[in-house]
Amino acid sequence: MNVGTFLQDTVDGLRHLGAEVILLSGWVLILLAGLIPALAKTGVLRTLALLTLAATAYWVVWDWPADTLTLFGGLLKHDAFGALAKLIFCASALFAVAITSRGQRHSHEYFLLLVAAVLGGQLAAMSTHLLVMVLALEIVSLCGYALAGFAFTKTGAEGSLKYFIMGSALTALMIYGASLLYGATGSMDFSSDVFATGLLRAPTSLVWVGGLLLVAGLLMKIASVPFHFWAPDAYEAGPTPVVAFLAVVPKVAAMVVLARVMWVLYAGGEALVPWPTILGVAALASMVVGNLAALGQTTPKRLLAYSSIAQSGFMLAALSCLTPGGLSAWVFYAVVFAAANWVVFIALDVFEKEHGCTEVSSFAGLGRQRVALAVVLSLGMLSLTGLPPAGGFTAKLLLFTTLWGTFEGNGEWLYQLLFFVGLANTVVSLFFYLKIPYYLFFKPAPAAAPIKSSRWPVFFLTVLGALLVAVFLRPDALTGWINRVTFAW
Amino acid sequence: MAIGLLLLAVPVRLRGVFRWSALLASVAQVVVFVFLLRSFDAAQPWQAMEQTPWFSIDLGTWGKLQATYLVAIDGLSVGLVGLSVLVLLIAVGSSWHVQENIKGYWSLLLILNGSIIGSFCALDLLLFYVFFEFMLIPMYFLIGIWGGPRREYASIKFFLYTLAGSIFILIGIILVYLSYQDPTQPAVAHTFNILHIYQPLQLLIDSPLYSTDATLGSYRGWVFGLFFIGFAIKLPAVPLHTWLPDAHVEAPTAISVVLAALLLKIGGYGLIRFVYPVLPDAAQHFSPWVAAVGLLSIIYGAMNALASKDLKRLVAYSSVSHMGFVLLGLASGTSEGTAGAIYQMISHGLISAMLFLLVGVLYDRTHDREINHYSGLAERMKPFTAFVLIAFFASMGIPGFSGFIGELMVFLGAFRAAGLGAFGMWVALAATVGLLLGAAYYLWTLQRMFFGPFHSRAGEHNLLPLTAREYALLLPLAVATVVLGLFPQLLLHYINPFVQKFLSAFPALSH
Repeated sequence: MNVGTFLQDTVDGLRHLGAEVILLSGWVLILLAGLIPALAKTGVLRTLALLTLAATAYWVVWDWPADTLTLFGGLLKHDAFGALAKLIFCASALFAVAITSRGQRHSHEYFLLLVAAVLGGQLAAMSTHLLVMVLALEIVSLCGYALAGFAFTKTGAEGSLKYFIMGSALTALMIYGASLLYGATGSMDFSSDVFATGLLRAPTSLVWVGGLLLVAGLLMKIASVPFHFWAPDAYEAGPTPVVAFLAVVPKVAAMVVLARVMWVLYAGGEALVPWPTILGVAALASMVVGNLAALGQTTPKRLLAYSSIAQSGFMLAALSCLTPGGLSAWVFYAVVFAAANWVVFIALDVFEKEHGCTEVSSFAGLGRQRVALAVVLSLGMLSLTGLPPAGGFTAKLLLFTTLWGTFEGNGEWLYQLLFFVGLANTVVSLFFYLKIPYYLFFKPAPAAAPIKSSRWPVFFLTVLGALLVAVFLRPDALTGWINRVTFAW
Repeated sequence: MAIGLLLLAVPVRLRGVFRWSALLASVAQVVVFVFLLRSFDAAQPWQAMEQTPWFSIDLGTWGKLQATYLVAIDGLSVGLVGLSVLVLLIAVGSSWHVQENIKGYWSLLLILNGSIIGSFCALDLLLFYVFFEFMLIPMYFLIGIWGGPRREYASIKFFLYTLAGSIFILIGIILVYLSYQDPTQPAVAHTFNILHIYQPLQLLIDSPLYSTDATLGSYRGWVFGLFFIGFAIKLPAVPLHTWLPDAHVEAPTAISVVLAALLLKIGGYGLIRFVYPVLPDAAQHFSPWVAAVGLLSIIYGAMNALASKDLKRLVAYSSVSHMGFVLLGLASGTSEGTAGAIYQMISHGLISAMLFLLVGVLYDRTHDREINHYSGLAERMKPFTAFVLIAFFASMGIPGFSGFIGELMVFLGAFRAAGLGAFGMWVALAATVGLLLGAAYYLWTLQRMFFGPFHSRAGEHNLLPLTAREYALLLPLAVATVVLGLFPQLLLHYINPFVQKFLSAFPALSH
């Protein structure tokens, strides 16, 4: 490649990097604003962050990729799959910024880290290059480690440290795996033909080890069993907006990457390593461990931490099909999961701030005081369980139909097992998802406390709750959109 | 028309006069139903059909996942929908004095109302399933918030049992769905539409259900098993019935009425509508088992009723016993038996509603339901005793009441049942023991509570006469029971054409 075409390529690539450019400029603005004492107030910084994220989301929609474009000679890919993930990130960060409390300490750094995490997520969602992938995911993770400790408590520091130690160890493994794959194939660009043919020629043991290490690093980021130990501690001690953010953004980013990498490694079924089985086993273990462990929890955040491990299991089950159908089911599930997750966390945040609820039992009787809030929270929980009238039902229906269809297609009993274990887990999960609604509505209230309601959460909850019901009533609106996503890369 | 029924049932969040809006909605439902009935022709298959595409999801290489909003009524559902609108109106009347948390109560009751009628009308498996699930949540809260002392335990038990059942049903539905294609888009789309699934031609070759083998080891066999367990929990059949006594005893009166009179029927309805016609060979293969489960429910329910100390628990167990007849009738595979099962469902709906209302009447006055705490009530509460007599006799199956017709037809069917052979006769004979036990527990209760010298542990000053509202609730049920007991043709006129069509599916696929 001569210098002329290289430059041309770079300039062309930048054109489709508008969203990231906006994010980065916003980040710099927040950085500068925080240094000027007159502007270094939570309100101003929050507004800046919100504007940045909204502009980014707008750009993503405006520059919606009609088909797949390779940028910068194979470093990034501009396609609808990534764009969809970017929208989830922007929306999540918007919610997180909006519900951050006024009294958040070090709000300057806090907003910077949030915006930077989104930037990392967006790059990860586009990456088709092992190095870019690792770097982008590390941006997300580093911000995540720091954010998890932003409650500035002892337990917060402990959770953050656990997350950090586990994360860095597995990142090191992931980098090692990536380097083995590079050595085996001779290419870092895993979307290239060189990589694909190299894989088939490389020694199987090398592909085994390299791929497994890479997958292990990614599984840690999505809090899948057996790399889930950090999640409960980090979730319990972090500030609620951060926890909700961590439950969506790193998870979705890592899954997008996982889908892209697996697609190549699986090579349409020609691979000698049984990748679908590996993913399927991780999915099974996550579902079972997450759900069973959640049963005994008494604090809402720990409960949701285990719930999110189980939800990762469901999403991994969809990914493990490694078919376009499985990926559609995954996208649907991920969107609905993100929405339901935010509904639950925003409502929990309101309960925590205004009623001091940090234990499941402290929700007793509040359902009568805050009827609308309690109903929306219950709707979110029902959606996570997978019951009508929420989008979670449709998502699970699509997932289970896909699993059975895959089983019929290739006769792998793994998918049949995932189907039945998944359904059994749905019943088990009802026990703990209904725990909080149960306290809200059935237990008598100890004493009526004065209520001071805030407007923003109510607005977001209304929008998200309506979204969940709408997805249930008219799922084709969402799938119509998903279907424009092409899964060829 | 039927969509009108549904829309009327869901205008929930009106502020202010919840009771009146609920009453208005229920009365309007009855009016709509009466108009519907006037234009209903028993000879036609599906009527008042509403069809709009619900959603259609393109799955790329796998075609489409699609569902339709498809509702209609036929000879089977017309009676059940009629029963529903009547019972729901009565439930509204009997919850008139609910004090606590009024807004929530009436909203949930109306949601429940809509989903019950929806379940009876839905002809799309997914739509049915959604309505079916949708009943759980309002019911859970209605029992759990407004129920008796052990309400939390009862509501969670109810929820888990029914949810576990509905997961079985969901597995069955997904397998059925994947096995049938939509004739309007062959090879592109599977179908949830039960009208398409009724046509054996749409069964996909090489799909799980494509097989002539319907024994336990085959897909057809275990899909039938899954559906059967799911609906048997709802029905409920012994040994899956243990949620019912708790739920009934703890639920407020109106909710017990709805639970006994309508929700249990959805179990039987689901079997008749979705399971038997789709898997007739499996149904025939398993019919001795179904009959045995039915028999077990009849006897075991009756024996438990005999041993109950709480009047409401007695009525609850009598429901288990009576729903056993539905299974027995279905298992017989004869036209008498099947028609009897449907008749029994409707008649039990009327009678159990009446029984639970009567228990509620007594409980409102004394807050005491122990049978042994009363005696000689007949001399203090004459009209009340009269209604109790009607309800007990009707439930016992005395000629002249609707319960008699249903049980008689079930017996006739079971004796004649070709699929069951000599076994059928023995089952029928054994089931008569259930009838005897039924007579025993009712008469014994009558003797203990209503005859002899007057005594009430809760005192006598609060044994007020029946109010006008209570008369208004009880009279229509009593009249309906007697009318259906004397003129069964009124209802059989609708049921019989359906049963003929229903049974025609059976010999075609077996042997």
